[in-house]
Amino acid sequence: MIPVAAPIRVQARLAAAADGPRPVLHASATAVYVDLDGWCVGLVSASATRVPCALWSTLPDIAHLAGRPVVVSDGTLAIGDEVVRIGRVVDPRATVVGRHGIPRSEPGILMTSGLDLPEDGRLTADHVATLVGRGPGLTPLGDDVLAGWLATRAALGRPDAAVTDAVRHRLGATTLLSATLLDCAIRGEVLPQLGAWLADPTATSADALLAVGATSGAGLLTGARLAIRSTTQDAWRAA
Amino acid sequence: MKDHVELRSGAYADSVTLLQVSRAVQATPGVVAAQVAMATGLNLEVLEGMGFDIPASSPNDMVVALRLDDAADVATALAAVDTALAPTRPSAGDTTIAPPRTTASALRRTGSGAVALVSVPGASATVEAMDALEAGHDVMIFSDNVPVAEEVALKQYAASRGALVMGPDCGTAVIDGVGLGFANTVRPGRIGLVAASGTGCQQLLALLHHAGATYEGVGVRHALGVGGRDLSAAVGGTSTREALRRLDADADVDLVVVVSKPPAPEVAEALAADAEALGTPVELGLLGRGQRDLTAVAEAVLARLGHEAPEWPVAGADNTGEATGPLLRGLFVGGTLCDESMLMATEALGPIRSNIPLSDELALGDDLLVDDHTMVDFGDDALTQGRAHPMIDPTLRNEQLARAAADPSTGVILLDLVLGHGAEPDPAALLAPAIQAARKDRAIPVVVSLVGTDLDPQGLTAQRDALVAAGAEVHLSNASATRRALQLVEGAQR
Amino acid sequence: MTEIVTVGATTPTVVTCGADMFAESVEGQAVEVERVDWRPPMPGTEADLAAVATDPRRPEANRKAVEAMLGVTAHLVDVAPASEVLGLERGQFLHAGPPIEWERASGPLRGALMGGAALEGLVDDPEDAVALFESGSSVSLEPCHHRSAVGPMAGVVTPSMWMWVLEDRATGRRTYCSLNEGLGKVLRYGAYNDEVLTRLRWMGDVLGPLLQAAVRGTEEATDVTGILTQMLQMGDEAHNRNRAGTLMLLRDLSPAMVSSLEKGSFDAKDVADVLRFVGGNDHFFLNLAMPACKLALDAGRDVPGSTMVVAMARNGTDFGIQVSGTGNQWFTGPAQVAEGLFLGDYGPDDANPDIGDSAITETAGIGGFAMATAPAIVRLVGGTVPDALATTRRMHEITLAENPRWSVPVLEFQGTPTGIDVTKVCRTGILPQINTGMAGAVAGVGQVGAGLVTPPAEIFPKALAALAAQAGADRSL
Repeated sequence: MIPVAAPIRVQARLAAAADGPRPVLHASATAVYVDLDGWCVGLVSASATRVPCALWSTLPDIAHLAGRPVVVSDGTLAIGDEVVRIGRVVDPRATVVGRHGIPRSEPGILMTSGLDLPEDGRLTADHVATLVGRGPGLTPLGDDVLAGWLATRAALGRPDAAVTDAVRHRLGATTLLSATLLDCAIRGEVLPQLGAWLADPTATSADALLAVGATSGAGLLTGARLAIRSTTQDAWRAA
Repeated sequence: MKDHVELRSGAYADSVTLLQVSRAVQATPGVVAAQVAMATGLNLEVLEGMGFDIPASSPNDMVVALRLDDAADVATALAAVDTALAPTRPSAGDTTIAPPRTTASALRRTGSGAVALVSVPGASATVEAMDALEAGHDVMIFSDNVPVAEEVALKQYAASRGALVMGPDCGTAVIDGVGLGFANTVRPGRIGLVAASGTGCQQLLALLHHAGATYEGVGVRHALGVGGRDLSAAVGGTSTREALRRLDADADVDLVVVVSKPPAPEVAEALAADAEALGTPVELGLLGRGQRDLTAVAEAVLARLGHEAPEWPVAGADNTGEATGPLLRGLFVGGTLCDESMLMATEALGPIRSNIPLSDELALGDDLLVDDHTMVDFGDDALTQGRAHPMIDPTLRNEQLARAAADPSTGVILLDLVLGHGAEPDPAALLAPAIQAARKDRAIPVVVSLVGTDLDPQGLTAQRDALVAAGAEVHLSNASATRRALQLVEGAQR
Repeated sequence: MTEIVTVGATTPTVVTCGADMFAESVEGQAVEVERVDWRPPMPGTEADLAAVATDPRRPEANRKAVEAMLGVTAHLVDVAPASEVLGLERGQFLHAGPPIEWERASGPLRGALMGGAALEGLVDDPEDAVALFESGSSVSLEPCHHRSAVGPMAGVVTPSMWMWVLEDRATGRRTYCSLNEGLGKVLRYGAYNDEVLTRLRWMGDVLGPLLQAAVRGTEEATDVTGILTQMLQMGDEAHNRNRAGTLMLLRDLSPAMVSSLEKGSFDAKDVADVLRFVGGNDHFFLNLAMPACKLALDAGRDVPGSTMVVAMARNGTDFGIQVSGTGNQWFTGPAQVAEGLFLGDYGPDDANPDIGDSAITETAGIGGFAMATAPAIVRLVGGTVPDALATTRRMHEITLAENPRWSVPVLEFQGTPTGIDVTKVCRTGILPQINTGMAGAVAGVGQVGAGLVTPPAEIFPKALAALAAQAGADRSL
């Protein structure tokens, strides 16, 4: 039995899922991701990033689960003969945005310099078309930027309908894990490091976010800063 | 007896090692005396004192001096010297890190932000709790039997450090979704609870969780227990004040609910003023004569958030026929649930005899079954002496259930069953057979308030189904269960 | 200040103390749990523990006592006869441990007193001193601790003995200790034959004066606390192993010793004898480590409400402790016999119960408390290196602080466990671990072995009761 904490919607999706096996999308020493009827659900180890579409365990590593079949039974995931039991439900939404000042002269983030992002942070459907699925890996860099932007706009209570719609229409253009994380971001669901930076933007919280994944943290931070700039520009114009 | 003395030049070991080597060699069969030492002046003196004849040597020589039985073999004894001088193999694994022995020591090993949960015997609880407060951590004290003076001292110290003391005698807390003690797994919402009552808190957790399936954002984010005495005149609501401050500071809490017995008047006044000063609205859910029941408090909370009260779920109503006698028998594991039912029953039926009576003259003696309406709290201190809480060990209640069933004047049996962390893994499996047995001869109505959520480890549905299958009628709301039981008894009296 | 964490930014941790079912249920929620291995406290201490725990003075008092102790740097400022620096007069004897009278004195203490009486010329034959001490007329006994001094083993100090003088320059406070005689048949182990007395006379005639000249002639006073820092990283625990410390002391004092030749008070043979004597006695530095520890601990004395032990000392009959919050009161119980290894033919029956002020080192956080840094010492009881590490870690369970100056490399430079807390000893039942030498039980025998020992458990509840009574009295004011 593996006790886990489940983000609210992961718990709800599992509770609603029909019994039966599910295909494994990706398995490593720190994470197993499965296709739960078109939505990606994961199980992560204590050392892995606690993404908002995964069940969070306290196991130091889960390498022994790689290659095992995954079955849903009565709202519960079983990997091989290990039952994954939800012992706690968490809300992964970022709701608190601290004082971010006016981010005009922040150092650029090297990895995202080639993405042709707007200076004022105001993404459009055109940007979405070039960003979704752009980059290598399970969570392409372009998606991370978008996720950071969407989640931050949601946390600020300023979702952008046009960008959101454009993203929803292009979810098929990226990996299922990345598409699921974009779906989470639209609802303001974030990984803890982004939530912490949004609530309290310090050098420490920025470093912690930048340390996520190979480029994911950088992408999320870039997107989040753009989103903050996009709303600050509004405020200027209004003033 | 024979002596063997040899010098080993170039050999060296520190004196402590050599003391040990000498001792080991001395234990070898045939060895009468042994001294292995560096040939320093002091050691030579000791050797001479033992009667050994030592050849000329330098302090850098190692002397091996052996005195053997005539029958003993010198080679064997020397082999023992060599063995003892050989380095010991390092043992595998780090066996040197022992678990912490005090709360202070444990908190040094965790990071900041850890919460301490103390459940040692009451006489030792204060000491452990102080460790947490001194290190700047919040603490929940599950232990009971902590003197009120110690509670006051703990809470005053905590206030000076901005720390929170939950308890003593705090059964339930939920902090950022983490259930401590007897707590239910809930979907986090935007409500904060401050509770001076464990099962009262659990009832609200269960009801609001149920409503949250329908209404977005309805659910409990934090439930901070404060202990049953916090709002007494002696303690003065110190923890309640700190809990309110915390919840008010949490941007994700839209509404705060305080669940407590009516406070001492001066404390009530101060509490009202504190609540008024907060930015977050506060719903005061006070329990007692003339006050609302817990379900009504939950409904008022929903109303404040702009929601209608849902139909509180009932299962197995078909099981219930008419009352089989004139008397109501309430057998509870939850003290606050017992209190709530007693208050409701007193209004409908008149005085209720109990081990936690509403007034002294209604107290039960040793016999928990008398020829009157009775309600028993099996979680009361007097009934848990020397045994586990009935949420863990239901033996005593099941015995009383059988006695009540055997009493022909028993008309309705009212029970509670509390799920969640800390409770039995499958409590219905223990209660259902007792209910079934109770209804074997006469179909006595058995009404159960089953306090829990669909996320609890035991699974609300499975527990409910097992009780219904045993013949019970199962309510999520204790007030609703009580009302049903009263209606049946009143029917029989008419 | 703790605040509720929002949005699981950090994973919560729960420390559980008590019923394991609650720990299990927290683990079942995918939350890290640190379990306290809680056991009932020493019998009958619950109420006193609660009274002291809730004494509002305690947290600040302990912080103050610890800070004062850690703030002291001991400098070697002088060497001089006890008659001068302690005002000790003819017939006055200092001894180790809590107060005791001749009737109850153990063999080694009696032997040392007898030798001391002969050294001072009160009697010609040490054996004649028995009658002198029995009569008690022209002699008096007093603990070293009552005169800002400490003495290893019997700890007997007489007026003519030369003393190390250590000073805390911030306060001018001083402590004192006699000069170490070496191992084997020595006065502090209760031996008093001619050889012992001859050596003591040489120490008074040559060693003391030459060390005085060296100390006075050394421009930069030796920082004894600093040497302790270094020696702890060189395999010494500064109670039963003082090898590196002794050599560092020689390094500091040798130039001035040689320079003193020019002044003509000493000849080359004297200097050579002293260098040979000090260099050949691995324990020479112990008599500096001890007063350095006492100097630090004395700074932590007399803080009302503090539960910190400021002295542990034994006289061969009683083991006594003094506590910061209870002033000069001694809490005593029977001294125990050490477990360890014996010299030559000696065995446990030959050993006297624990004796000496040297447990001041453990009181300050070295000696047995720093066992991890001197793994060789653990072999005294046939232990292993892991035992040494475990001992130091265990002592952290009963102490108030880590000493930032005294760090243990093998434990990732964690500071040694410092400042024994009476309440933590009573709560955990873990007794302070002391490394010690063993004296022969019969007067005149000398050293018979070395080993490990603990105080008698009952003295800690006694101290606790006094602290609790004070806490109550303070509250009722």
